[in-house]
Amino acid sequence: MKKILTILRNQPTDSSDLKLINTLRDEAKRERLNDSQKIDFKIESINQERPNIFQESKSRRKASQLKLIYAFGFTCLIITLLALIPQSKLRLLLPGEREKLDMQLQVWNEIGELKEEIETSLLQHNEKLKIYNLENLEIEWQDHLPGYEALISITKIKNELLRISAFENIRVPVNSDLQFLYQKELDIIKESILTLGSES
Amino acid sequence: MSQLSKKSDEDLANLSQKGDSDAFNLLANRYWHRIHRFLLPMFDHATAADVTQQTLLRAYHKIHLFNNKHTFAPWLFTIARRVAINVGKKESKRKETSLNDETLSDVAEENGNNLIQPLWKLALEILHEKSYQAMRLHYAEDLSIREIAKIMGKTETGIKVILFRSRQKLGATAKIRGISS
Repeated sequence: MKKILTILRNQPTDSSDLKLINTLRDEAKRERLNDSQKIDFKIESINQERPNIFQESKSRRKASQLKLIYAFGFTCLIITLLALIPQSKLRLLLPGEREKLDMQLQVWNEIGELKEEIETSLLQHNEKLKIYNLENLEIEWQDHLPGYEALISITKIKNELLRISAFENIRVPVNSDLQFLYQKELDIIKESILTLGSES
Repeated sequence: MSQLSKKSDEDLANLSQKGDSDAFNLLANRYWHRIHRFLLPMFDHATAADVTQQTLLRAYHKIHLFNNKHTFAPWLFTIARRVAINVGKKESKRKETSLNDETLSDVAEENGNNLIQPLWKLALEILHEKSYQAMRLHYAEDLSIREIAKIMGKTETGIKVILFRSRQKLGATAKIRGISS
């Protein structure tokens, strides 16, 4: 307790402590006396260096300011570019979107390739539906099959396209399930008219 | 100049604020070694001298901010400590592992007499940087505990404890080494 009070009052603990303090003070006085003649400090002479020191810090400050300005400008440029680029293109930057687009393009290419074939098949189908001769009905129906196959394949492609579409929440009308209708029609033709087994 | 030398630090600071560079030169001469010794636990002699110079230069440029109602020494030592921290201990060599006689005698030769007295030399050698600085400010600069606490960024009680422990350590080591205290 006494020790704590001594510390808090900043008092010497004993005579040797007091002696130490006095010696420190005496030595400090002696040092001060010795100091009095030694230094001939002239602020004017130091001021010669002042421009260097200050110019250095000034140029450093200027450099850091320039860096900040460049960084700000660059950020603005990036933001402007991002604003200008359409959202659909920006979307490609997301992981997986590029692959999705590749798949879509592939399907579109397939559609392009099949387009002529389908058109030809559909024309044939329409032509063959004009029944001129009942005797050749079975043969003519056989000729219709590529048209149906083409229709079914195009609906398959449509479904595939919808599955990989960028429009994720697209609503497909129930009545437009053409693949089902065409398949059903084809099965009826095969089973009832051609008496063939249904193939999906 | 002789008239100026009779003036107090605060008066000289006041004159410096009015543009009297002689007044500031006198102040700088009064404090150069005191700041230098204050900085010695943080830097070697040469760097301490540079930092002292920087401190005085900073004080010169900021003299208009000095409040005449307060004493000058704590203001200047606060600047010294801040400049020293800014300069950074990394760039400067840590205080010489032991401030040997050779180094001191070199400096003494250069300056014509001893810069540091034996007990202070021992304090510089064995005490931690902050302990030495607190001792220096209190027993050599006669600054109050409150002023030292403000300069060092510590509580008054903290400074009192530092002083007590430093005295204990210094006294014990001085006794072992036979340095009269």
